[in-house]
Amino acid sequence: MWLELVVLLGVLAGLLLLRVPVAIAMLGAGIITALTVVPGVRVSHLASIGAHEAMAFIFTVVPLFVLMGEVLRRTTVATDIFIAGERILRRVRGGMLHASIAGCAGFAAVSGSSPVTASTIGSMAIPQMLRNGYPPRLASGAVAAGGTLGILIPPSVGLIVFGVITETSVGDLFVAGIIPGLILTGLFMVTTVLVLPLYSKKKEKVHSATHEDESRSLNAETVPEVSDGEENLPSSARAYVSLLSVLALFGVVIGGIYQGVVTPTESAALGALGALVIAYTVGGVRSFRVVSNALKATVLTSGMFLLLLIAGLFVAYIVTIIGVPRELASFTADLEAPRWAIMIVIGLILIGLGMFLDPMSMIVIMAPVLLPTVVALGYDPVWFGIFFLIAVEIGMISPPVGFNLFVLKRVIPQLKFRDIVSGSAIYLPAFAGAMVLLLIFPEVALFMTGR
Amino acid sequence: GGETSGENPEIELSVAIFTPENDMFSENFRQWSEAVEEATEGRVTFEPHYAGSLVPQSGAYEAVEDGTADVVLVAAHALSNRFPEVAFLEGIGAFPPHVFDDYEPFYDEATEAFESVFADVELLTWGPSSQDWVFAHRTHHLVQPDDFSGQLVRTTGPVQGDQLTALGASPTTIDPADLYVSLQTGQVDGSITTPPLLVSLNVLEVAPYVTHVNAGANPIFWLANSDSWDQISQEDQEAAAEALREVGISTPEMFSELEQEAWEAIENDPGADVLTLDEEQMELLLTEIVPVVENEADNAAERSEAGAELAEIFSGESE
Amino acid sequence: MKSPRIAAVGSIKTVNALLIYLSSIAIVLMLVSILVSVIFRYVLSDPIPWANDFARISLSICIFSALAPALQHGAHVGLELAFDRLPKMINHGIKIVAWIATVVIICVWFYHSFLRMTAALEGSYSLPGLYLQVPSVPLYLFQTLCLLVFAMTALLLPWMKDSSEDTETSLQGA
Ligand code: NA
Ligand code: NA
Repeated sequence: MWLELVVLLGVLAGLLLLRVPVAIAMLGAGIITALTVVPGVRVSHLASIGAHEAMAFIFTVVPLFVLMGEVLRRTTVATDIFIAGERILRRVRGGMLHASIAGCAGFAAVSGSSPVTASTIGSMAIPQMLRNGYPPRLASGAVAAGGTLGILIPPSVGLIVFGVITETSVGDLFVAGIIPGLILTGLFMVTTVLVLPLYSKKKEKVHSATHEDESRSLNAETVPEVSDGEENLPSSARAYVSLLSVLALFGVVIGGIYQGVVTPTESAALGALGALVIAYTVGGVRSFRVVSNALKATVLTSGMFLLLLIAGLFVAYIVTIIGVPRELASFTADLEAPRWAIMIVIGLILIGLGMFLDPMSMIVIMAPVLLPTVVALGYDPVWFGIFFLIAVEIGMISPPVGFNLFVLKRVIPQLKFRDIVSGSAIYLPAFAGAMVLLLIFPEVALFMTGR
Repeated sequence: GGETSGENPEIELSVAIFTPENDMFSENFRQWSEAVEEATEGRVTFEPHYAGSLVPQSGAYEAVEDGTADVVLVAAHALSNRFPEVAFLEGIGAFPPHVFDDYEPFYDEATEAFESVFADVELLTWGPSSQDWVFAHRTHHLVQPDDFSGQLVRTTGPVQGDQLTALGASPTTIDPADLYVSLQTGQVDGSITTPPLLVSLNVLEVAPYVTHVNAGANPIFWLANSDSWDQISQEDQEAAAEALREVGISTPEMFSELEQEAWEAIENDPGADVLTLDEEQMELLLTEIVPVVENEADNAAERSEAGAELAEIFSGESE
Repeated sequence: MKSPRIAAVGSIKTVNALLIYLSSIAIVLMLVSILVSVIFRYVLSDPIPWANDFARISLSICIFSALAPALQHGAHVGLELAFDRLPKMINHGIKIVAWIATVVIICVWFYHSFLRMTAALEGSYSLPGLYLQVPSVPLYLFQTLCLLVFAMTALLLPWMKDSSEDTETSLQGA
């Protein structure tokens, strides 16, 4: 087993260092392992995966949920959620930070992706916060961390990929993500409250947005234009309408799964339809061009996800033949360590890998390897999905490879990368707290699923 | 790995099983693999991969053909796109009931015919996947054509699908993994399935109306890649073949015991509402669905010599 | 007269643009067929049997036609480390090795898909796992052609970078 595993991981690491795209590197590592050290493995299985497994019905949720997020990020909805949050929280100290976090959580309820959530909220909220004298570090950290909620609060492409690759119910995973997502949102806010005084002592200006001039700065001029410009409703009223429509869409999509009236695939289709309806009614979208751009982006993103899934299934097949998951499960069973200790080790491994690997690659590579061990320890696969995803979220804000960090630097070039990194680090204890909470009280993830 | 020829090399073969570890087909695997290991004094061993973790059932034949897996489990319905001769076996009522009374000669005769159909791979052993079938439905029992009319019912494959069409229902295929949610959400109204699957997938929670249809259908096959199998010495192959035959002959008995356990679980489930068809109801049902099987068997007979043999053996009129 | 390479880059770009349309259509068809089946079920309480199979075939078309365009537009994520600090020559060498590796890997996949297709051609059987009796050859042929375009795109990738539009999509992961 060890020789095969070393070859597989060695080739994978080599190709990744050469900057071959992750999915193609995985295919390459699988092909070379099959041709050299594992005589039982046939490369031809790759063609079978394309022919059979790539037609698995559950895969259809990927493009549909991606389409939903791609349509909504081209509307005014994200801006509106932030404005609504700011109006509600304006008297709270650091209100705009809380509004950013809440805005991320709100947008996460209709978007399946973390970087999309971070960039959509960040591109509008961070300039607002900077203009109001918030420290860049806190402003970017709150959005980078808040943005990671995109793959914990359903819908989530990460949970879909975990479900497909481990054959766990995607519906249950979605439902299980709700409470931990809300808890994490709360922990981000608590963290914000705790660190704010430190920044005030350093004499950095933190306003509470109560003055007239500050609320004026939230008018349509300063908010980056996402729509084609026409504002029929006063922005405050429209903000609340948008917020309500997003909550309604979340209710239909996730509530439908929770109530057992639609399958995940059907809810994804309803979500995409709902996103189009919102776009043309409250979302400020007037031209078909927006939709066709969203479709093009959906094609490219889905092409990326689905290639990763195919590569993941191929590597999972090889890893299974080699016997890694089985050996790992029996190895940990012989350890006689308490199961929470093993889970902490697994969590640390995932966080370590998350520094270098992108979230989807992490899931397709590690989930099938680790799942048998975790199940043998007596944990529920759905619970593990949520635990795994929180570790993945940390990876998205940890250098050197952190998508949320990159995306914020890109949408707001004047931010210093160092500030984004250290700002995000402020929120690391919140993630750790959520993981520990999950370990102590697995019900947090499971009770709504009825598992 | 193979050693010098003439000796009996030690071989480990990978086995792709689409059912979960606690399913009766998986139990069937453990029976014959232990028998083979014993017969070959541990030189031939098997490494099972349950729950489709190696290859899914739809790709199982291709996998064993090219050696992606050394051994696969595959049911008739999933082979019918490649071997139309075996398509009719998927249909409910394909096994004449009396063959189970004197199964040994029937097994030998059919084995020979199957071997000539699956000429490119090695047939290890096979069995009737179930002598009991059930229609599970969300809101009512499926008994007569009126009950089926307009219902969307999940089916195993195309021939059972045609049988449902003959009864007035609309058939659709759904992966067993999605069956629970599909029934829960009403994406399908009911399902054809077997008692053990009914239990292992918790189908009763969402489709409590169970109609019991006593008729065998849809045999399962254990197929091995020819090259992989030929790594085994001649002597061990013969020992293995004898062990496999012994298990094959007793498979219906073993399955029906496990089915009995499943039935007990179903009947003890307070939510379940079981209806066993009486003779008259059974007769009525069969007159609707057996012609579909007969029609498919005629097609098989026209297709090839092996098909003609199978059609005759399963008509229950062969000697 | 254009050089053959420029002509090849031009035609692959055109093909990929067409594939994006095709993939979009497949997504829309998937969306519509699932919505229609929901409507039939709840409004007309008459569920339609082919919706599942139809969506699955659309999905397969969507996936395979998206592969090459996603590569051209830089959507397939890779590890980004600080290679810029390396001497220019080494960096250039790394890029060439990575390029060759990518092309070879995709060609291996294409080759096996081609074998699968020719096998299907001989047997002329229908797609497994579907209730609809759909012949496997057209779909396998389509998949193989898409993989050919995927390989061609990888081969010509160094000459088709117009990176201005592409950077955004590469961050969509997760
Ligand atoms: Na989300
Ligand atoms: Na990272």
